[in-house]
Amino acid sequence: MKEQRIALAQGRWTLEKFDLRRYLPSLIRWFVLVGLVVVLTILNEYFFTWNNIINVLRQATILTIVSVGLTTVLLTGGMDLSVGGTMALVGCLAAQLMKAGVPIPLAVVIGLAAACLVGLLNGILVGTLDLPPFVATYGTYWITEGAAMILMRGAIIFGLPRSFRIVGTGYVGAIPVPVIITAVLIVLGHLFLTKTAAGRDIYFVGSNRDAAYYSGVRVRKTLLSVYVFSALMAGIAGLIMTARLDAAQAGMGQPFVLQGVAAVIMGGTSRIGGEGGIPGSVIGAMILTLVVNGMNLLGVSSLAQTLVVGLVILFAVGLDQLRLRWTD
Amino acid sequence: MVELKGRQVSLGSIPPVIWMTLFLIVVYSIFAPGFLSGRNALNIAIQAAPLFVVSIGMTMIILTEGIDLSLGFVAGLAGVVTSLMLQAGHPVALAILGGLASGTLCGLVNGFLVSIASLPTFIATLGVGSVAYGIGLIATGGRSIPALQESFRFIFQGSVLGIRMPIVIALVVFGVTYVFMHFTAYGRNVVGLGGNPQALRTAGVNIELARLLVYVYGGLLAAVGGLMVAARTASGYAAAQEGWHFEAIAATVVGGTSFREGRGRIANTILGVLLISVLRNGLNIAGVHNMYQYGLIGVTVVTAIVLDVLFTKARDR
Repeated sequence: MKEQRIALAQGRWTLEKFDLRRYLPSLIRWFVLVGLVVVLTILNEYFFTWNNIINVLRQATILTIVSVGLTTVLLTGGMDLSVGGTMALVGCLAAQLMKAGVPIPLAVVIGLAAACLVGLLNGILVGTLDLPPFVATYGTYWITEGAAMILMRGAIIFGLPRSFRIVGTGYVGAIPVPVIITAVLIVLGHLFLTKTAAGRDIYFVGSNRDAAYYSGVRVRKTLLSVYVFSALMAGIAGLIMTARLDAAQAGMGQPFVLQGVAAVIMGGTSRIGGEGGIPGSVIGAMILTLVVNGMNLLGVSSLAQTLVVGLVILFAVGLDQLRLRWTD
Repeated sequence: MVELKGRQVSLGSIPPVIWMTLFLIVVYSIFAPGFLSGRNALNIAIQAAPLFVVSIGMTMIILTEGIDLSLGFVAGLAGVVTSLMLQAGHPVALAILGGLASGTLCGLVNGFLVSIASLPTFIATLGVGSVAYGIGLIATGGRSIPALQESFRFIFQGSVLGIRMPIVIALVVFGVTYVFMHFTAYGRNVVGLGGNPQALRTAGVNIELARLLVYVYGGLLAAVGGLMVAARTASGYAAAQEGWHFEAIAATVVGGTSFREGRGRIANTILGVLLISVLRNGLNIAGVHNMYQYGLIGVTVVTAIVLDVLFTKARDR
């Protein structure tokens, strides 16, 4: 014991200080990401080209933004299954408004305001009424999905104004606009979580809700803020998706619920809260996007994608479980 | 206060789900001509039967403080397996067994992941559901597979002693589960799993096995429900019951089964299923388009859950 303390003081690595098991999941994550890139480069000569890299980054933006929002919710030990519905609702609402001749900024603001309302509803159901998060947010998923269906009446809207489509398809220099937006959101989200008091409250609530409450953290307000943030991110993702596809459709957000949760958990944010962060989620989202992009490049049927995403999720939670068991 | 079977029953102690169902029946009777008839009541019962079967499994799982988000896809997979086997010329009985086996297998995987590997229930089952859905999609190429054999369709269209098969199946499943839950040691253990698993473990119960079996049973019942729907529509389709786990969870929670402490009874789930089925049936008769129904069911369910939470809080106070 004494020797170890001396070793620590001298700055030498000891088993106490460098517990490999703690860093293993993060190592595995990087290994999987780099491994995917290497394998795809070998299998397909087109993969490691500037065009495809930019393409992958642009594909990853929507999932990444959703995951950034979801990370904060999962950090509090919560869950937000409504993000898919919120994406569809915001995309459809903004598209309908633009079609009706409403100025683009106003349509965007109204869409994002609707997202905040959904988040507020989630926050009240979970924080104030104390409903189980995933039941409450599954309910709001159906409400928002239903609202999107009613807005669209089963149709697909396309032919949106060019200046709006820049959000999804434009470039600044060689970098696509959505990639820049995503990078800004990642940095802002990460700074918020790690450098502000409100961000630390999120971790605190997740790791020990009662302790947080008794040390004066306003738990309800924190919960409300993460659900609003998550819905806002989902709304932005919905807008980018609408702009990129030049189309809005009810149901367009559906795949992102499962993939978003998978990306966050794969990224090391613990499902029981209080541990993890946005950088991990970004890697998780990149891995999932590469898996889907790789399957497209290799010509795997799109029908197999649900299966593969399901397996990736099970693998990710399995890893999370091992980590929890090891670090206990 | 009202006198009921010699007991004093306060009107306020009647669960909100009954009020909401009665309210819906009154509204529909006024606005949807043809709703209030014996024929339609029978219709509702027949339509509700598959969801009820699945909800029984979901209730048991929720009683153990778990959740199963794969049941809808498991039901779809069972329909696909049976239809494919029928198409390949296998006898009907074997095809049905195959469908049921696929559901049981999914349940086994769920149970293993949740109970032995102790993964979080809803992410594990979401993953398994996604895998089951993917297998169903790949096996059928995303198409719906016809299953037209009369003897297969009997399990939905036929009747025994003048009672339609879906109702017979629902009653049998309910009866078996009820006896099992209330009159066997294992059934009481299921309730205990949600309340105080540690106490059960101390008492020498193999709680891992008990929990695993609950998921297996849930998978089996999902397959039964899936086959009932496949027989009704004469086809197997991987996405046929996509929204089922939501409706089954809704029915369970609306019926008053709590996610905490293993409070609740499978009998109460009938009320939840009834509310959803009445809501849906009335909307159909009134000619409300399917796309509005999703939103309306979501709103009704969330309202019912919120009312139930407030009601329970008020009663406990």
